[in-house]
Parts: sequence; C-alpha cells; structure tokens
Amino acid sequence: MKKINKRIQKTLIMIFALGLASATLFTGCAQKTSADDGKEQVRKVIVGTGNGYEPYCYLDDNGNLAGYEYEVLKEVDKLLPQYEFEYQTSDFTNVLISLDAGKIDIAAHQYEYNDERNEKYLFGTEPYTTYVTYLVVPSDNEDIKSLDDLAGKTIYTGGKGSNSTYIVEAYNEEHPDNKINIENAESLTSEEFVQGLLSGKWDAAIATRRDAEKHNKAYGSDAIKIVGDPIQTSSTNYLFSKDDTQLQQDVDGAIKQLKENGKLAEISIAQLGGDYTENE
Amino acid sequence: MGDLFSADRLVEEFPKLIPYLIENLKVLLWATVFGVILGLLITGVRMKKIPILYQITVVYISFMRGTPMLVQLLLIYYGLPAFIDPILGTNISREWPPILFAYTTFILNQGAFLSSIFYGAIKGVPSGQFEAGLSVGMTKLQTFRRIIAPMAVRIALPPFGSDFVGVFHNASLVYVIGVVDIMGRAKSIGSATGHVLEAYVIVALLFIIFSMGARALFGFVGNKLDYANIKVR
Repeated sequence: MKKINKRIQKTLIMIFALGLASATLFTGCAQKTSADDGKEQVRKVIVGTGNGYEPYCYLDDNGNLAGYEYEVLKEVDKLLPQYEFEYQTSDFTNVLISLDAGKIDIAAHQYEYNDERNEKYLFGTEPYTTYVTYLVVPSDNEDIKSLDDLAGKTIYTGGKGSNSTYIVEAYNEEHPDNKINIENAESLTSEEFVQGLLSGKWDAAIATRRDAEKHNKAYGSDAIKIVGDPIQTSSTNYLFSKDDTQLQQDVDGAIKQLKENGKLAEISIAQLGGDYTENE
Repeated sequence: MGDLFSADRLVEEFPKLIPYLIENLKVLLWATVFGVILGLLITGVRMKKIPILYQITVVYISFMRGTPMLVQLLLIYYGLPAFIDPILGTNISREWPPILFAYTTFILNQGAFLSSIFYGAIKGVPSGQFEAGLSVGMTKLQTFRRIIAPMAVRIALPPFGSDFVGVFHNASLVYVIGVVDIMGRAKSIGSATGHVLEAYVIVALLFIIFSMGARALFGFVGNKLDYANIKVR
C-alpha cells in the first residue's frame, strides 16, 4: 500500500511540477512592456485591418502584415510625426466591431461609402482607392447581365457587413417579388471564388475588375468574366470613430499629400498592378 | 479542380505552419494550469456550499457550459474591457494583445468545465470511504487527503484527458479575435497564395498527432494510477 501511495504522490508531484514550470515559462509572454511614458506628445494610433484580402491586407511568407493598406498607411505615418501607428489584424467582420469597441482608431479594409456605415462611423474625405464593382459570372454565361437577371438565383457577396452584401440587400428590399439569394462568405481564395461560380454554387458574384482579373490569373485561365454596367462606382476611405475628427483630418491631409507627390499612385502600381487611386 | 491540391505545396507549407502551433499550445497550457486552480476553487465552493459564492458558481458554470466557445471568446474580447475598464480605470481594451483575451477566456471556460469534472470525481468516491477514514481516527482533512483525493484523481483523469484534448481543438478558434495561431496562419497562407486546402490538411494532421499523443499520455498515467489492478510484486 505504501509503495502505491508513493507512486501516486510521485505522479502528482510530477504533474504539479510540470504545470508550474510551464506557468513560469509562459508568464513572460504576458508581461507587456510599457515604455511609452517618455514621449507623451506622440499619440499611439491602432490601425485595424484584415488578414485575408490579398493584395490589400494579408500576411506575407513570414507572417507579417503586407499589402496596399499597410504600404499606404506606412507612408501616412511617416508624414504625421504626432502619431505612431500600430497594426492589428483580424477577420474582416471584426475590424468594424473593434472600432465600435474602441480597440482600434482607424479601420482600413477597402471601405466603400454606404449610409449604414456613415451613420455609425466617421468617413475620411480623401479617398485612396477607386472601387468599381461589377457582376462576375462564368465566362460561358450569356444570360446574366444585371441584378434583374438574378431573381431567385444565388449571388455571392463579400461577407456580412461588406458593401456588396449591402447593395444586394438594398436591391432585395426594393424588389420584394424579385429577390436574389445572398450567400455570404468572407476571405475566399481565388480558387474557392472561381470554383464556386463554375460549379454553379453561385450564379454570380460581385467583385471589382481587378479582383476578377486576379482570380483568373490565380486560377490559370479566363474562367470568369465581368458583365454589364458597374453595380456601384465608388471609392474607399478609412473609417474613424465619430468623435475622432482631428485624426481623420490629419490622415486625410497626409493622403492628399501622397496623391500630389505621386507616391500613392506608385504604391498602387506596385501593390495592385495599376493606378487605381483616381479613376479606372 | 486539378490544382486544388498539390503535394508540393503541402511539403512547402509545413515548416511555415509548424511555428504557429506554439500559440495554440500556449493557450492550452494557460487554460490547463490556471483552469485547474480555478476549477479547484470552484469545487471547494460547491463542496462547502458557501452562500452567495455557491449561487454565483451555479450561474457561472451553466453559462460556461451552455454557450459556444466562440461566443465566449468574442464576449470576453469585446465585452470584458467594456465592463472592467470603467470600474478599474484601466485600458485593457487597447493595451492587452488579443492573446491575453484568449487566455482569459480559456481559463474561465476551463475553470467551469474542470470544476464539474473534479466535483463529480469527488462525489464519485463512495461515502463509505469517508466514514471509514473517520472511523479509524483520521480527521476530516486527513481523510480527504489520504483516502478521497487519490481515488478522485483516478476518477477525474479520463474526463480530464478528453477535456484537455478538447481545449486544444477549441484553441484553434482564437484566430477570430486576431491571434495568429496555426489556424490563422493557415487562412492567411490561403489568402496569400490562393490555395488553402493544403494548409488545412496540415492543421488537421498536426491536431490528430497531438490528440493521439495526449490520449496516449493520459492512458499511461491512468494505468499508473489504476492501483486496484496493479500487480503486487
């Protein structure tokens, strides 16, 4: 009996020691260094962006944030010495919730203007990318030209809270007898996007011309095409909290400067493969 | 369809993903170590039926066991700062990195689940054992420590083991609040390369290997503790 008891004790002690060791090992990670006491003039601004929308915001080979949003904001940060930008990535839907919760100060994820967003957030006034969206269908499809052709069919839109979802929802409200089924998903890969259309899972999707081209290129053939007139012609802006006008004005000023000195166009060409900063 | 899966990419992405498993393991360790401590405290409250605290634990446990992990994670991530910051005058909403919210959620969750396991295990020891302890002159504490606890540990071990593996699986949810763990990295590789299936296959493989390892370990410890069946030499 004694022997067995010892055994149990030994095992328990071992488990306990293991737990303790791991606890001490990992508490190091919890301690945040707060070294920002010295420079009080510089305001720390947290930028919220996505991690799955190539080439705008995604993680590169080493797991670091990369893409158009990041490159532009890096230049903006350089022009604004009174701010220090920090970046936080999450899923698309979580970016705006984080802005609501005050976890971030700037939301950067190719946000187009819409009334719903405008009601809750402060839009920047200096757009930094054009955003013209079209219907996208398989290349051999000749029937679908506009949203009206999609009654009772299924369309893929870019996730809850995205502008394409908003547009189709608005369309459905205006045409109650002619409803389009919305299938929401976010951060699809090109493969999933093309495959979804080819397999007939969706009859159409909404995307910009450059995104459609990107998908075709990634897929390796001209499997999909854009049709008809633009669904919406707009541009994208950063979003701020309602009362953060100072930051909004400063960032707008910086964007304006980047436009004037040609830097923004440069970044657009390097990241997006074309100048999409003024018009298409 | 032919390009959906390629063995080359599988091999290529493997080393890219492996380092991120550490994030999941960190969550698992925090959840287990502090979850056990919290679980024991809650079990104490439940055993002693300490007024007020007891009622709180009942609500707490039913909440933690009755809501999806994902919901808890988002509630803590967005809701906890809104609740704590005004009271304590802190600013964890911005100062805490997402992973700290992940730790907090998993510790709170595990505290509830493990307390149920512990409570059940202690209750599972026949009351005659307790009486027997007292009858040979041990104090209540001695009886608990020498008689009840060792048996309870043995009863608790199998459910503890499956819970352990379950937490590890759940830890793959932390990417939704912006922690770049193995799942988050798999998704981001997917969006950067346009190919996502290989990364998911790798994640699945790693999870299977880990789960099997953990099960084997708990099986081994369980056998060690199964003293009723140990051969006496």
